[in-house]
Amino acid sequence: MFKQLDKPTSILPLVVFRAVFGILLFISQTRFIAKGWVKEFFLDPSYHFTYTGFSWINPLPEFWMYSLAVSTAILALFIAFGFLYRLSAICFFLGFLYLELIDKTWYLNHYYFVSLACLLLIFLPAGNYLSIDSAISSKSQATAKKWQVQCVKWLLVLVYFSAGLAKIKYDWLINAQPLTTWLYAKDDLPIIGPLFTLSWVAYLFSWFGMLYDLLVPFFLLNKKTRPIAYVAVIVFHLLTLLLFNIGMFPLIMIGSTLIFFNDEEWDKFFKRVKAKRLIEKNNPQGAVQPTSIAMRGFLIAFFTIQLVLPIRHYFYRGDVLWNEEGFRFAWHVMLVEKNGSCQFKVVNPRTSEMWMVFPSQYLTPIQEKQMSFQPDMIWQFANHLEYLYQQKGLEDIEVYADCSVAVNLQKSRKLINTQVDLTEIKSEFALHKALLL
Amino acid sequence: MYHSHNRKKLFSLILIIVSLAGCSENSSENSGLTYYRGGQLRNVFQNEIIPIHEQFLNETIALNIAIELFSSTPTISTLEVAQEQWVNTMLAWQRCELYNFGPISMSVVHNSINKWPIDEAKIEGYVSSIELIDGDFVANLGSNTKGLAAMEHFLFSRSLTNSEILTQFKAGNAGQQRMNYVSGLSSQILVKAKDLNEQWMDYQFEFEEGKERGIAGSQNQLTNAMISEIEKIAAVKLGIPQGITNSSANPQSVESYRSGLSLSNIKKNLVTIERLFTGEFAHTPFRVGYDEYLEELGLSQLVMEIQDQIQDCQVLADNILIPLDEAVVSQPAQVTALYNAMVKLLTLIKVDLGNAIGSTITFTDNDGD
Repeated sequence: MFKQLDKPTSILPLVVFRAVFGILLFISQTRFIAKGWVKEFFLDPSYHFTYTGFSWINPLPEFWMYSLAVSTAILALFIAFGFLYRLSAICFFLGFLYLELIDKTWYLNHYYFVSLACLLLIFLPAGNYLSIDSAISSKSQATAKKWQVQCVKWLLVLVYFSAGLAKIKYDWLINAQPLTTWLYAKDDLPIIGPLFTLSWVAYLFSWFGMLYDLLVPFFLLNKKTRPIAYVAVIVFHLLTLLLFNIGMFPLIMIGSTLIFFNDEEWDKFFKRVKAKRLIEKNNPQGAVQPTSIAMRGFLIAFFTIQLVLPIRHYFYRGDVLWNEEGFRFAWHVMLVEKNGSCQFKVVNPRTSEMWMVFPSQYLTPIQEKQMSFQPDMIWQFANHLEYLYQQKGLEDIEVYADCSVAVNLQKSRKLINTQVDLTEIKSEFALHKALLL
Repeated sequence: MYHSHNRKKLFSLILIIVSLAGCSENSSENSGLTYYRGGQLRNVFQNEIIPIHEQFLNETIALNIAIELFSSTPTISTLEVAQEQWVNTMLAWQRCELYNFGPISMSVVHNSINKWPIDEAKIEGYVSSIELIDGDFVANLGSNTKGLAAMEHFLFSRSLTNSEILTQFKAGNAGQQRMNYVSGLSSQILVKAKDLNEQWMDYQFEFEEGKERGIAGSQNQLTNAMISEIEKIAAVKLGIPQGITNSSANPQSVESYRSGLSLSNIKKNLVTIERLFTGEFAHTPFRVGYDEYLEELGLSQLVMEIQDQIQDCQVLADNILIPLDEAVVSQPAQVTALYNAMVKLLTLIKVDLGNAIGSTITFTDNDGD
């Protein structure tokens, strides 16, 4: 299989991806800084919900946090223009990953996609053509191995298909939720707004959204259907940009899917817009070095993980929208309207003393909101409370959570067994014992 | 030819969408969630926020007059007038307390008017100092040494009679310092009340036009403010004195301990919450609140549950017939019942109402999903 994938092909799609993706990342990081999120996300909270195994990742002092954020924006530009490409890709990936790993409150699918795509970019020769690097070195490489272009497409196929698979849910297809709620609230939009008050429109959007996600990557892969599929990509994502508060995600997907167009299509496009040819005709027949065993192993491992993570929740007990086990890293995009409220009861079993704790005393509003319906974060906060009370000299305290959660217009109900001492649960993977499914 | 054909198709598609939009059953100007949201915002601003803040300003003006009278003629009678007017002002303030968001919140003007608990030791330190105490002095103080709560410290006592309180104001230099402090507090509260009213007037357009569903939407801000107020009542006004949030009862930590007004404060807060939910502010035909908005979403059951829960809270508060600081000791079960009812109301508003209106109950923007 790798023999076929090692064959040379035009590097142009990968170069276009590098340039567009890099510029979008620059805009995204600049926007992040301009909105004051460095302070709000990383500096203001006194406590951070770290990922399992990454509790050692903490925010840096203020100056260094800003320096890091600004650096990622500059590095994104370096990637876009192919300047010190590989080093820039490595540094951006590490810097961005560091920012994302500080607090799971800020987990977003598009941040996850950016991390994965950047990891791939480190190993791809995207800076070898039409770049500052190639201009400086006078060495230009117009071809790449097939897999080097294909792997970004595979990632996009997986993203879309998994997102479509995740939409095959009762609430989404049969109740048209949460789109009914969200669209109804958008009835003031000019021209199309009144349509959103009609229930069939939410059903149309739900079913179309599911079919779009499942099918569009394959239509993008097919040369004949590619143009119309790309129009669908633009229309779909612009519509989501217009209707929902989802920042850069639509633009990143519109930009990233440009990689599906091959060099001939780019040639046609440039001829049509009467622009100079962007790329000289290359010679894809040249001999190439076979891909190393290590690289093959990395690719197999990378895509195996990407295949497994989105479907892992099928092997867990209960509804993923309720218990959130297997929700992250699985392309569950815009699937749920969820609200929660938690109170914690701290008990000293020796003295029977009891304290009721409202998490707003310790968390920022967005941290509290995200925690209030995500069991692993609730468990983390319970352990944080145990730590805080230990600091006050109280050993062996018990912490119980009373959390009510509502999903997609259903009446609120308890998420966690209020009789379970959360400090007794030693790992988030054992947390399902405390969940009320 | 090909392009012309495509244009025709595109034009037909737009025509169909526009026609459908025109034919939709809710396309009239008097329906739809945005219509209700806009109506709710106008209603709450014009018929509640402005009147209650004007009322508070009027009470503050009266308080200033009463304090001036007390300062110029310190007698039992003028002290009682000042006390009575302080109570009126405090109760008027409790009706405004919830409305602390947007530019109002950013200006922290609420903290200057009534921040509680206060630092009594620090206040007494200022009184016994040789500092010249006047309005400017008070203006520069931290929020835990000024505002209505600080004035209560001077005007009321649970251990002293009014005659003894009066004596404190007449005790030489220290007495004069006390009087100066109270006068300074009064003039500063008036300045801040005027400032608050002006801020609301400046905010009117932005508030009434903030119909979007997102984070910056006014309905979202109102919802968050209501949640914060309910949580404050449960966690701070009831939880701390009752010992629910800090293990042991601490009766003196009730709000307005010296004046014994704590339960009345909570009752006023509940009135504000109820009126905000129902939008029943004035005798106008258009009294839209959250209830009409939820009805439009087909959630009559939730409307009933929330109204019942607010009523439960009010009944439980009415059932406590002694000051709250005494009730936490002698009637703890009744206070706990009120606390539990407030927490249940918090869940209904924060979780069920929040979920129904599709509102992002946060104070920050979002960047995707």
